[in-house]
Amino acid sequence: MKALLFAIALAACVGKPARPGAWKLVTGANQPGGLRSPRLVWDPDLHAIVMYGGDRLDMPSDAMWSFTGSAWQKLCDPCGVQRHRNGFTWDGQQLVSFAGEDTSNGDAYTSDVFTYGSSWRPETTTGDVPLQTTFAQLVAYHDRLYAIGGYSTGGPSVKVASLSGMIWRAEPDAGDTIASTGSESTVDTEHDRILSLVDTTGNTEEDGVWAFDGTTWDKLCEPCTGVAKHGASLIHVPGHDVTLLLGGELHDQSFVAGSRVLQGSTFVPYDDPVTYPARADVGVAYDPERDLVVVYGGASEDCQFGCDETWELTPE
Amino acid sequence: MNRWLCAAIVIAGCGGKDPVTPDAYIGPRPDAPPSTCQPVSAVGQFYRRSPNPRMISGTHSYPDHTVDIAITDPDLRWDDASSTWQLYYHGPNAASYQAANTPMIRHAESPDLATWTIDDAPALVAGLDSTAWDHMTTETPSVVYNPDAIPERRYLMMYSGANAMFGTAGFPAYAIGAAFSSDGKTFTRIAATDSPDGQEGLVLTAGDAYFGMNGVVADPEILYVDHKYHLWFSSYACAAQCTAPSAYGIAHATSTDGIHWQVAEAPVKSLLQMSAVPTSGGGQPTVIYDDVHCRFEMWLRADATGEANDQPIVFNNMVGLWHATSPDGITWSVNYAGTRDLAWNSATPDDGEHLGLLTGADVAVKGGSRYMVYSGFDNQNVPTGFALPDRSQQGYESGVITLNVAARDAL
Repeated sequence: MKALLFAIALAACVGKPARPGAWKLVTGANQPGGLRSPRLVWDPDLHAIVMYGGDRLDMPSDAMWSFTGSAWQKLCDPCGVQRHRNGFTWDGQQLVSFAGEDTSNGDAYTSDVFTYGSSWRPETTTGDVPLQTTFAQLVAYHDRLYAIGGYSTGGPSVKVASLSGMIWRAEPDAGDTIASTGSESTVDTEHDRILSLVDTTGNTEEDGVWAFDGTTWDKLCEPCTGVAKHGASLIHVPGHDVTLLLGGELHDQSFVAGSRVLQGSTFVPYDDPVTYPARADVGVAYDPERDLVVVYGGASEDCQFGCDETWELTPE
Repeated sequence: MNRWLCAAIVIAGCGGKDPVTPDAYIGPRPDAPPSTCQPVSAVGQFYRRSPNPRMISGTHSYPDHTVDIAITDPDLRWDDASSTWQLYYHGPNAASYQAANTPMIRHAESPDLATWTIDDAPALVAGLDSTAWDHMTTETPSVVYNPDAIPERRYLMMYSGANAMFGTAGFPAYAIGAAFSSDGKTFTRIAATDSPDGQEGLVLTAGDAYFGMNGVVADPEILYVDHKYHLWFSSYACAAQCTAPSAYGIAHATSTDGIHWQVAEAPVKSLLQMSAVPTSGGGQPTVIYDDVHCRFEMWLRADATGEANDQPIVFNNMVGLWHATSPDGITWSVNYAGTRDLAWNSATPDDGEHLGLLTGADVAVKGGSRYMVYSGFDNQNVPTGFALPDRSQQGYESGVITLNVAARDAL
């Protein structure tokens, strides 16, 4: 109920100009519809944030969209990847999809790699191919793509692998399970590391963050916020040296409002008063040209099977 | 045989006029003082009991010269009063394997799980009226004994029924029905006037579990604990064209009369493989209440896509059964990263299951031990004309569905 009251109060603020550090609802930017766990990434070729997939109420999305700043434009639907809950990133040259569930095969977990030129195409990989997983994270770091965690048939995973030239290499295990329905891994360029939230796809609530420098995983903090949760998201804003932790869902199935910022080895409230909506399982990316963090979709009390809102933030 | 056969289970109680012990209910009530609850120590493992199989479809002929072409969805309980095992199962009845069959639920009893006496009269037959909601199929029985009920309602059977396929999903549009009995042998559906849905037998639909959505509910498993019925069942919800589930997993409901149900949680979050993902659940639960240790135990199917592809037969396969425990029947603990309590052995398949396992099993209690009955696919002692769908180009092979027993002894 608290979250609902907050949402009502928040709605009254919609339409006011955003200020640095305050989240703003982008009205009218809801074209993709309700989506839970979509994947967002900045595409420098398109000069736009691109979104792929996500869970819809009726069926998983196989669509890709780009954000103009005021609306989402459809790039393809279906896009032919037929994966959801996949990892998704930009590798410096192209968009890449990793793993996820194959909607053409009973949602079987996969470890497939697809790349996007003018269309999506499957790639053949060799080396130490990762386990078939869902909800794995994929981030570009040190000229390699890192596939982190996810959920496999063995449960929430600590496994990490990296990909270069379509050859996989096993990396050190993460210090804890990295398996979230949110966007839980980000590259902290200022400190030259990957940051990942501890999560177990909701089986337990967690409050830890681990850091990986390409060689070693180190616990950054636990507890980090004092609030154990799942489905939170993490985004680093390069140039600002700001790392934000967004929302999440509690054990009682209520949703966490507000964003927090990393200070040293703890996360402190960022938007004060709180402007980030009570939400979990969002997609998030940073647009360096507009200097905006953009959030889409997720789940909340009034959109448990997928929210259709776009929120943006000009970081302080 | 093109039906989606899901096994339902029971924790049945026994009784009638004489006081008896329900099969899945042992010791004092769960509301007993905590001091009476013993701590859980070591728990043994299930192992298959020899010889298996214990029953083979099509090998028992009824006076009208018909046979049961399958034995699925077994439900077992131990009756202390008569010192017999009471078994219910879905046994589609026909003149031969290829002939049209009549879905029905059978009752059998045994002193030792080895020799069985099968009643000639079915316990419940699919709705006779072609428009009845459970005309196409009536299956997955789960029976419980309620010593507090009036004599004609001492035994309650919950079952799955349907009268159409569920869109293009490949399985029937299941709902759940209720029927009562005074002797535990033959059951009578609740009257249409008693049904919350105004249809004879019908007590629970997908709309009760998922308001405003389409879906199915099936595979009921019922217990009577602390003067209240508890029901766990498979549930599937979807929207629009229902091309993919919005939710899939085991749901939980309670009732004081077995007719009017309050859905507590659908799906039960703590039973999901990924609690944050409402489609990551399992199905076909079987539950017991262990009031020596004051906890519920559940066994369920939760296979990943393709995980049963090494089984030759392709028909509602089951890799095996996961074990979950709960102090209250509401919040469960299950370790999906561990090993199953019973699993098909692909290297050296066991007797009675050389061709795979059929989903649906039931666990009952006798003393401190747990006894499991489950259906297997086998290629031994196959009655003439019996076949099962397989992965060959031909699409089928000689085979038969069997009933088998495994047990977990008290330590």
